[in-house]
Amino acid sequence: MGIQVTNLAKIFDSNQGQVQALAEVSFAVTSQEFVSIVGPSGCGKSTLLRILAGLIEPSRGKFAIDVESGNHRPQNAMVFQGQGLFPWMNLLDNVGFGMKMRGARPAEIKSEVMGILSQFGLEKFHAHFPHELSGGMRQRAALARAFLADPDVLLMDEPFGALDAQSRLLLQQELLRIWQANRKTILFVTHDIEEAILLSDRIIIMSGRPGRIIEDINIPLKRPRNLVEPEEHELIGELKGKIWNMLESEVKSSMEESL
Amino acid sequence: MEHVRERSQELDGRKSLVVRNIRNSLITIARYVLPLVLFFVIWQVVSSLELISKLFFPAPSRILETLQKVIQDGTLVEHLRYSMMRMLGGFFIGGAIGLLLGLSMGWLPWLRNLADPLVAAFHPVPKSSLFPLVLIIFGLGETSKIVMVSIGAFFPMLINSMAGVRQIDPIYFDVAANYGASRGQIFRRVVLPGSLPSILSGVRLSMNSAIHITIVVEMILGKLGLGAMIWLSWETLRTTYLYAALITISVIGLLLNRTLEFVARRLVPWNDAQSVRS
Ligand SMILES: Nc1ncnc2c1ncn2[C@@H]1O[C@H](COP(=O)(O)OP(=O)(O)OP(=O)(O)O)[C@@H](O)[C@H]1O
Ligand SMILES: [Mg+2]
Repeated sequence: MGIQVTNLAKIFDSNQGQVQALAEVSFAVTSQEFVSIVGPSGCGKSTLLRILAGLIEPSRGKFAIDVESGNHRPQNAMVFQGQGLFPWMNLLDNVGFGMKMRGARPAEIKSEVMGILSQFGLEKFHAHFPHELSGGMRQRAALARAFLADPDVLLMDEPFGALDAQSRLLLQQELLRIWQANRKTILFVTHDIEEAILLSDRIIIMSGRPGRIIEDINIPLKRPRNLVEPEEHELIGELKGKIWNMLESEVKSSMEESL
Repeated sequence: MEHVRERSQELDGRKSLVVRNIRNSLITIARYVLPLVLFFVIWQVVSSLELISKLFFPAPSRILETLQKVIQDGTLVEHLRYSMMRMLGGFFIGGAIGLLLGLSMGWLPWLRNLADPLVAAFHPVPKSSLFPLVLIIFGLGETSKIVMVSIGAFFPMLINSMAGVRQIDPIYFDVAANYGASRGQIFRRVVLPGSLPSILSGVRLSMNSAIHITIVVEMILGKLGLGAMIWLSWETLRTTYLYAALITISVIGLLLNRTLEFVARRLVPWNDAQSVRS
């Protein structure tokens, strides 16, 4: 269930010429590990996840995701930046989409979806369309959809980026609780350094475009973690400063480039 | 006692709600009808006072008489039957082909690259100018008229369904692929519903084009159909018949458009039917 990435690079051909989104990237994630990726905007984080999800081909390099032998679960499920709930489906159909694609019976889909929706406090809204829900509820539904797929690897692209602070805290707790109960390998992209520290076992820090890995640091905080009043203030503060120091110049130069 | 009073109050509340609903729809109808009534009343007065030519602008009362007459002797129904057959036949044939081709072109880049230059070349040609060519190919019978209406219905449907697919956010294709959807499933679950709002506005444009072309080809050729009725009235200078035909066309157009709007609002609950109504 681990991930092995070797010299992965991606160059996009667009009308304005070629864009190198990802320089050679190599890293490994062990089974059941929670790894965050932080880096300036446009450094290729989404591109990396999309390659791992099998949605686009890398230009160079290779990757491998070890799958438990003989299971019928999907290898990966992605929580997309901006949720990706289908506007034309209600929550039931949205969250049950993966099961439906695998040919499950409607009754089976309904009972499983209602189960996961109630875990996320959404069972009353199963007949609602996404535009009838708040941003936080939509985000929870996107998580529910990915968790219901029960993949070996969860690829999460800024899943809490668009939320207010309270909803975010709630969903972070929710994510950790579910992960603790049902361990998966998680690759979690975020632009929030503190979020990365509080949630992950390890943080991969990327440079501005084309994205390279500039640092790979362990987060030695104890688990289970208290997100509201973390005990190890000092360590957290120290890590935050360290990561920001590494990122600051990258973020600045990528902002100047985009001006 | 207390209990009974509460119940009757509740009933009162419900009744007043019904009354309010009825009143609201009456107001809506009045808003549409009043200006029309006013228009016809002024016309009637001006015409009776012979301030305008009776030949060009016969009094509404005389148009009504004619309407009544052609309804009773069955000629209007006969014209209407032919027009509707051509209109709907062409709409369904041309619309269906346009829809399938448009969705496919929106979805499959190779097909789009292949067909786009052809569409770009043919689309700007006024469709009625093709009538002589169609007559040469399909003869003077009914087929030519239906082919013409189909061509008219085809293009708006094609353009709108293609645009509908192309404006679908690519993220939905990614989600579908990530959850293991096959090509057929992607078509049914993403391409079709994702482009539905645009398809539905295509349906309306298509319908209006079908009405337009039907009237044009009927004016040019044949003795049956609302277009023919208009042309015949001009040739015999029976203007009340001309106005009767125009009023019928206006009513048909309004009814068809309203029906499509209603269907659209039902089919696209996630879109508030915004883009469809406009
Ligand atoms: N399909 C594409 N075609 C051309 N260029 C692309 C494509 N997808 C991404 N890019 C480019 O690749 C670079 C990396 O994009 P990516 O979305 O991976 O960045 P990101 O790190 O996820 O940024 P953000 O933090 O803003 O989400 C960007 O410059 C982007 O413009
Ligand atoms: Mg991104």
